[in-house]
Amino acid sequence: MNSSSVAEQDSRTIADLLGRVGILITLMLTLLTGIIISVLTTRPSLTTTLPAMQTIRPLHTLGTIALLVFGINTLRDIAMKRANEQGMLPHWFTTTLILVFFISAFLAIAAGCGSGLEYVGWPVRLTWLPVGLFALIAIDTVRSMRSLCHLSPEGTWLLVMGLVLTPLGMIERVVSAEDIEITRSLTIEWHALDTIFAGINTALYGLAILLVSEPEKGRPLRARGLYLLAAFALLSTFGHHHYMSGQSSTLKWVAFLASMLGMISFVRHVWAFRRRHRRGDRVSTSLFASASTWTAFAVGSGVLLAVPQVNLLLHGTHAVVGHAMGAVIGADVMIIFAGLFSPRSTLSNDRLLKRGVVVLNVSLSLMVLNLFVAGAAKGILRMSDDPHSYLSVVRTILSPLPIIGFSMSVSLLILACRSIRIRRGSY
Amino acid sequence: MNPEINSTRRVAQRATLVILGYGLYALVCARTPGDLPGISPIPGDLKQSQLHAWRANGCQSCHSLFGLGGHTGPDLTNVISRRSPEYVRTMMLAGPPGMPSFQHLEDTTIDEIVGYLSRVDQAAEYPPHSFSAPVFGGHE
Repeated sequence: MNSSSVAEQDSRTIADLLGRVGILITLMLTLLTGIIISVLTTRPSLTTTLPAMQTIRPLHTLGTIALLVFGINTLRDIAMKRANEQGMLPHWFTTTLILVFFISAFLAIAAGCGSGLEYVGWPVRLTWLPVGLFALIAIDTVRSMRSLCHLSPEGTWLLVMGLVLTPLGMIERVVSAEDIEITRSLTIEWHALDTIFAGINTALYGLAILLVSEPEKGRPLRARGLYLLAAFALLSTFGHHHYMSGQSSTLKWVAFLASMLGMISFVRHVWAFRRRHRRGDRVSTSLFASASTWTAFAVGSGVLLAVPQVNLLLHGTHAVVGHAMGAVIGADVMIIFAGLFSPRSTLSNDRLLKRGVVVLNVSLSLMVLNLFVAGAAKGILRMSDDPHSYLSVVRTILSPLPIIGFSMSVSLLILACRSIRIRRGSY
Repeated sequence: MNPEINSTRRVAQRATLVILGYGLYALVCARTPGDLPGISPIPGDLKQSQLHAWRANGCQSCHSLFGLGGHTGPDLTNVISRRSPEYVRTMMLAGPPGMPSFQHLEDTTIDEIVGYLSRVDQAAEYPPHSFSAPVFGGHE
């Protein structure tokens, strides 16, 4: 029996179903809260009739992070099976831990006991749960490194890095939460947040490579120069997020340099695009290809936002939200769904699914464009004498956002529901 | 050496190097002083309580500081110097269109939030007044 059919058989477990349902539930929470936020952004007068932003926004962030964590956990399980590796950590255990974290954080935020921190809106102490979970998964992955390297050393390196960096970023965020020196606190906060998301992205990129690699034919480790470049960028680009704060000029220059070197990564992504993802079933192929394109967009727009004068214009505006949407939905979420569909080749003719992928890409493109235009308008108008004069203009520009968000939600729900149907073996 | 073991070892070395680099970089970030005068901590619980008042009322859900936070409402980094403490107080109590009223808060809590914003206001200018603002330090 070849490794992919082993993966197919073993994926039919209760834990796997639980993981896929977890992805669906967290996705539903993210989409619902996202639509409410877009409605409140464009129609603030509805504030009295819709749930308060103080509850909705932390729930939106929680849903996103839990979705990504569920995705990493489920895809890692599939990758381990592909490598014929059992691992010591049962999949049901890690899935249950994520569920416990998600439910506890959800209840705490809904009850008004959130931390009020950006991206870590749940009570700070609860963060130790995902930190412990990532630590356990990282240890288990390191133990299985040899088998995973058999699939792809590059994918394994990225996965291990991501699994270690994510909890380190969370620890940094928790430890610095009470810092009262504003400039330093901001520096650490951006460093921690960048590390958390860089870790999540890196783990998912690694998993994507492991899921498309054939044993012994997978992508080898990148050359030493490119490795040093990636490590440098991973550690130091965060400084461009707050050029205007009082952080050290040295950190700003280092961040600027590292961000501009990201151009090499951008060119490599574009260059490699034509050669990639040509085998496998068509749904996962198109999802992996979409993820490649959106990764190039995320890297390219990241480089652009790090150019100081562009940063002055666009940072702290909706353009940054557009950049984040491209990275999280375009790259991360597409990789998760591509990974969920990848062991199954019989989905190649599922029309609804293929249309869902098209609608998702079109909706996301429109959303990102809308956000960048609104961001540019805000960036220009906020420099006027009345720094709040942009509000009505930006709200008008963003008026299509709820409709675009709705169409994107429908396409994502189609993907999520289909990924559960596969599990039930209904085809 | 077996190429598989060699490859695993190189993966482990590379991962370890980045993790060590992360620790070093985090330490440097935490200890590097800012180029602009930051706000020196004052003794007692006052500053901590200001921070807690800002967070407990979920201000960051709609407003950002130095661009970090929500985008539904305006960035409040320099709201104190560009408007006034009274303006902030009035907005919080009145609840203009799109913003809930915080009338239910005690006066001391509102003072703490205004005090917190006053401290943030002293840290630096954001958003800048022009595209020629000095990004890497120095003067316009």
